[in-house]
Amino acid sequence: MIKENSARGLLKPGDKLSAEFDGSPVTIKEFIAEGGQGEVYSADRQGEPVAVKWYFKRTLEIDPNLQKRLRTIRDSYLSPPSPKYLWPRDLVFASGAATFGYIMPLMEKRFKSLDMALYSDIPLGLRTRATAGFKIVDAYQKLHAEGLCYQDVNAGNVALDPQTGDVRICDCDNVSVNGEPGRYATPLFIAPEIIEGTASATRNTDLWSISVLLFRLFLVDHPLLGTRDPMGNDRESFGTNATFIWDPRDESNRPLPGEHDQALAYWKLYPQLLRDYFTQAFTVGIREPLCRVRETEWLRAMAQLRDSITPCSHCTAENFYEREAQPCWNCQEPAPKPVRLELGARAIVMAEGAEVYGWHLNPVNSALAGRLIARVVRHPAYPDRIGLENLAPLPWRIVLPTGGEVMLDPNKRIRLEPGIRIDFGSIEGRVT
Amino acid sequence: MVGNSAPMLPGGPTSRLPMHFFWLLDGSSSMEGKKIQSLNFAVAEAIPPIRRTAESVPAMRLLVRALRFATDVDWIVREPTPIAELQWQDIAAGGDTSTGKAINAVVDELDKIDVRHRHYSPVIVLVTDGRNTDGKLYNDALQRLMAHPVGRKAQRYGIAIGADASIEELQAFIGNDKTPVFEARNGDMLADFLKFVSVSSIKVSSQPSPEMADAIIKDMATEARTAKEKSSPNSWVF
Amino acid sequence: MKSTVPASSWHTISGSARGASHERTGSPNQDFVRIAALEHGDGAIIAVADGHGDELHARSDRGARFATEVAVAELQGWISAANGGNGMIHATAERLPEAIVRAWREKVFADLERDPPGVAETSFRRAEKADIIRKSPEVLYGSTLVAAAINERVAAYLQIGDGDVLTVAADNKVTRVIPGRDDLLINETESLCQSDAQARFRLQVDTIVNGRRPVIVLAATDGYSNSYGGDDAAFFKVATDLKAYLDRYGPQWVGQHVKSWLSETSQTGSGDDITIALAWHGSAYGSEAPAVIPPRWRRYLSSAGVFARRLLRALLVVITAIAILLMAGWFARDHLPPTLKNHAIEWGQKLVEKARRAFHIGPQGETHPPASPGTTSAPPVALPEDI
Repeated sequence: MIKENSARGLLKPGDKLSAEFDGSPVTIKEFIAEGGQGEVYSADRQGEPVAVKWYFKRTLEIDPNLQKRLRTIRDSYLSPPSPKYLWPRDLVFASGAATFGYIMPLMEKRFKSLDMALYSDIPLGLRTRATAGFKIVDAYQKLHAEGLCYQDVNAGNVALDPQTGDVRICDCDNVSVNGEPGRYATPLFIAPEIIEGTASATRNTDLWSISVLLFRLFLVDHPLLGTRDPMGNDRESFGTNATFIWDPRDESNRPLPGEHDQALAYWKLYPQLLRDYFTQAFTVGIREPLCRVRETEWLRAMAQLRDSITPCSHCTAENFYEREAQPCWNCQEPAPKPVRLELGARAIVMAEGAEVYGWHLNPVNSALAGRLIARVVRHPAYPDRIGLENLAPLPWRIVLPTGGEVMLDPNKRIRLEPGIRIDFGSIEGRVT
Repeated sequence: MVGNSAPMLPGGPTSRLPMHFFWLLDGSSSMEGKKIQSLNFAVAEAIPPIRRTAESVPAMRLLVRALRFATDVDWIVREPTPIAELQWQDIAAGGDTSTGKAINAVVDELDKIDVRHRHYSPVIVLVTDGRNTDGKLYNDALQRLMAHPVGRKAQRYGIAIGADASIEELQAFIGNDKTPVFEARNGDMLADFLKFVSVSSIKVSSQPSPEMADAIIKDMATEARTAKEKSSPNSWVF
Repeated sequence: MKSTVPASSWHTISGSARGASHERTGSPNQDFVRIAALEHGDGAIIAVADGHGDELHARSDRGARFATEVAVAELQGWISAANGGNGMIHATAERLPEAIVRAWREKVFADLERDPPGVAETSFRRAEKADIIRKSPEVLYGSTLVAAAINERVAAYLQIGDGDVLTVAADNKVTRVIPGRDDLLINETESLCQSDAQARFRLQVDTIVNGRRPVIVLAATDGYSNSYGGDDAAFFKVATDLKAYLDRYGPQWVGQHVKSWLSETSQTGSGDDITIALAWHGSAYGSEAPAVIPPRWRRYLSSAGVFARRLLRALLVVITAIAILLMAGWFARDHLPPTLKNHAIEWGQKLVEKARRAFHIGPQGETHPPASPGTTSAPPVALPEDI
């Protein structure tokens, strides 16, 4: 966990450490934060700003394999599974010190810990949450793809940029090959089978923790804490007999008004797909690790979430458009059917900020999947006009409703009107 | 005259056309550690998109079988299992690389397919990180597959894990030069390829014309090439 | 009144249902079917065709229509002249594929001239496809064809591409008269638009010996058998079940249910368009209908019966309205203006007088014999039961 503003410091500014692999000197600059296992400092390594995590002595006593594990991580992975990870680059030692640490990339100041972001006065926008959710799941998917297991997924290890939804995942020192015995887990995020003592940390327990993380990202409250045990004092509330607060077949643990207002207020506004996945994760997924929602499914839900965001024209609250226009959840004003871009079986609501990526055009081609192809922008002079900006390297052939054709060069925009057809090359989109 | 209740459908309950899908997964000792864990993840992660693709082809009933081959062959999913019911149990690694035995095991299953029934072309995906250790048995098995009436019409794909896999061996297994070998150098590529190959093979089988099927195979070749070019050697873990 | 034993003859039924997946995308049904009965029910000709329906074959619905038209025309010509020995019959039948292909291409080229393909039909994302259409525009009309002709002496079955033609004998034995191509996969179909289409036809000719003819000939597009897992045993049951229905309830009833059956089969099965054409040799009424054809006057009455029922209902409404008016008038008689009352009484008297004359009831109450009924000869038409 990253707590900020602690006065203690095992190290002082100016302290000199050396990296194990190449002996390069590392100079401590200033204290950043304290966590459960150690402290984090900013430092300088031969001109390059880095971060140093320095362990408490008690951490080394609990976890004797720590050094070996960090060396394995360093030696097996020249680059982390995803750039979102603040990956251990090398071990650092100080002569005469009782403990040691490791260096990792320095997290930029724009990132705030997820816990802070959720409870801050400025609520996180839904598009930001969907973007963050997508990036978090994508990062864990890539880690699991390498055969690894993160072990301690929790809201304290994840940081996000409230402006863009970009994320960083730190505390990667628990990462090990899937199947090796686990050591760490955070209450509230631990999988039921670990609580019961019938299993240890694996990819599937990571999936449980990810589902809790996502639930908190979108609904803030915990998925298993409702009227039965609002504060989570009972271990049973997290074990294999737990009940989801929105279990469709068991109403005994519904959120408690006054205590879990966000879970009550936000649940219905999310699209059915996301709610179905949460339901699967916290009903079947409690007892059956193999039936948990997989990353590929979460990604699908996150993408659908983002692609269906429709701001209300009266109060600007973000609504989700599914099959038919519903009244705004915030001001109850009826909403017209939004302008959408149809790409095959998919449709993206064309609201300001909406983005078209390579995978929208070609779901299986991974080479272009993450590339941003287009963005919806507002006309600078006429605020009620929206346009689509070409961010691809090639021009698009556009057929207008009148039948005329134009070519839209990169970085140019076209006003979005129903009836327009856009040839992106691999697929044709229709604006409806 | 007959009463008002709807009369029974002539022919009785319908059933869709089967498509047989086989994963042949290398469980040799060299796969121990993160490679086998990556492979387990890749298979489990591929199941939801495969299922969605199969459901979008109304006439098709996708039936999956999977085996692990090391010194011997272990059928992990022995009975043709509808994709909606498939749950992946992790496999472990240890032993030789008896690819030949794996091929023989598949051909034995192909014998059971009744050719008089219409069926979609079966798909066989071979995933391995090294050369076969069966020698002559491998060559005989491969010949048997290519001579088999169902086997020779099956779609065959190869995914190579790491630098020690033999691209030539996999290309010979594929048996044509239109379909590429997919070279996975890290877990992310492996997961992507397994999903992509499996989903694309379903689309190939269900195309109404050979030209459209070829178009999808061309796309697969492009994907194999660009994925390899795009991946930076820094990210090569296998 | 004389009653006659029902005569057996050939009846034809056809039906088509849009594929569940095509309903979703809104594309038109690409199947076509044509049936023809020979004079006196002595024989039948059936043909179904399945247009390929993909982007390369943008006009395959027209191609399928042309296919069924030319098939029926050619088979009609053949069967009416099919006399003579076996050798002769086979020889003439063997010319059918060539004749059909030629006639089909004539229709296609005439259509191309009348209506040249537009940009939408000839532009493709892949250049190879545009080349194909440029060189061989008939590809736009690609379609399969399954057709059969049968009478008391001969039967011919022909097919190009996917689809099935089955016969059912009186003992319920089902035969696939044209063997399937098991060396082809699902997406390798043969088509009328191929340059060697003639050679790809599969033909089967039978002479009927000792009256041992099939009682059912069924031609179906492949959406039907694909709904049964491509399994012959399961698909054959469709044919025997249809025979059972025909034997019990007759072709009229089966014809009414065919479309909903095909629709349900497509929805739960292949999702494809399903079209069938069926020729059945039997009586016009199934076993659950009267074994004896009722005398003519009863049939008129039953057909008139529906009309009469409707008329009766209308009359009932009018009479009730008048009765209500009269009752109201009677109860309010003291309040009615005198002129109205006098008019009413006058009308009443006039009506009674007219009724007396109409029913030939003289003031003393005698009756006169009715005139003889007209001699109209409307053909017996069994109208659907008015539920």
